[in-house]
Amino acid sequence: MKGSVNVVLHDSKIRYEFCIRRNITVIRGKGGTGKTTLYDMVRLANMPGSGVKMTLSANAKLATLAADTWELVLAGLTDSNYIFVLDEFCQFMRTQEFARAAKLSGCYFILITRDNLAMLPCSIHEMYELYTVGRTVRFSPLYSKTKYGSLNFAAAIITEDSNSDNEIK
Amino acid sequence: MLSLYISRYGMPDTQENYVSNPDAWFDHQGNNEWILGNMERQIIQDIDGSNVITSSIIENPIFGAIPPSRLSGTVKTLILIKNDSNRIFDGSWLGEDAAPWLLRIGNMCDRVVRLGYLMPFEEPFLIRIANDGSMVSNVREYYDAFFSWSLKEDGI
Repeated sequence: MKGSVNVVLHDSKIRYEFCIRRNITVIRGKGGTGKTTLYDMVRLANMPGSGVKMTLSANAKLATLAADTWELVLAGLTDSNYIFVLDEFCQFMRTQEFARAAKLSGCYFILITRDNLAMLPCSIHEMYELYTVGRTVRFSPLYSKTKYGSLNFAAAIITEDSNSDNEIK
Repeated sequence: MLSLYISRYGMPDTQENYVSNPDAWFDHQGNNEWILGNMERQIIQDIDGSNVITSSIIENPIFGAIPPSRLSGTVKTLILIKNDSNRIFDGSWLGEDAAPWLLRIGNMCDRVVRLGYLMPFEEPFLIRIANDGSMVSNVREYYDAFFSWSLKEDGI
């Protein structure tokens, strides 16, 4: 998949609106903000008659990955236009096997986790927390320019080149 | 006292009392009566903005009446840590806003929690690092311990 995808997901009580721009998007932050509800609504939106509706721009599809079937799903995938959502309980996302399969799939992934993901190259610009206004939930960048100011206590900051990539053998 | 086992990948397989999915554990092994406690009610109000009505009904501002199974993972994990002393729960299910509550629980009783991200604790605190039994009492010592053990895990 290439480019950005706008997503609207809603039922009668809550609405999610967000844009996915890169292959790895990370959601973390405070409790009770609707992360697991997002995962559940994506799962339900793919079940006819669930009452959860979803609209995506481009030719993209949004789906969940589960702990017991992710390897089969990614191995058998012939369409790279998927955006997969993984919730905190998907501990396989910390593994090298998942990092390798994710890269080979060419798909996008939304990872709901607070753990550091050493295996996956995540841009700090694609790390978000959720915020709710009324009944609409949106993504808010976790590392805004004003938050960089909080790093002024650091003795050293390690950076990497913007063209660098993960080197998974 | 609160003890943190710092690990990016969970706990060793030999740790049989480790619960890696407290959200599901709460639903299947938890006791709904726990949410009636004073501290539990405060946690549910503070984190989820919800009010406990009965042991099986909670009033949420968006979804209306919900069962305990729809509490956030952060709330479920805090309630489990407070009420179940026999297990080690995965603290990465706890959001940053759980840090003051975790310290309060640690001041009340001895608990071990596995942590895979840098939870922002505010001083004053006294936390035991379960990896080696050392103590940290300020943010600098806590950061040093966290990054030191995270790097060791990757052989650095």
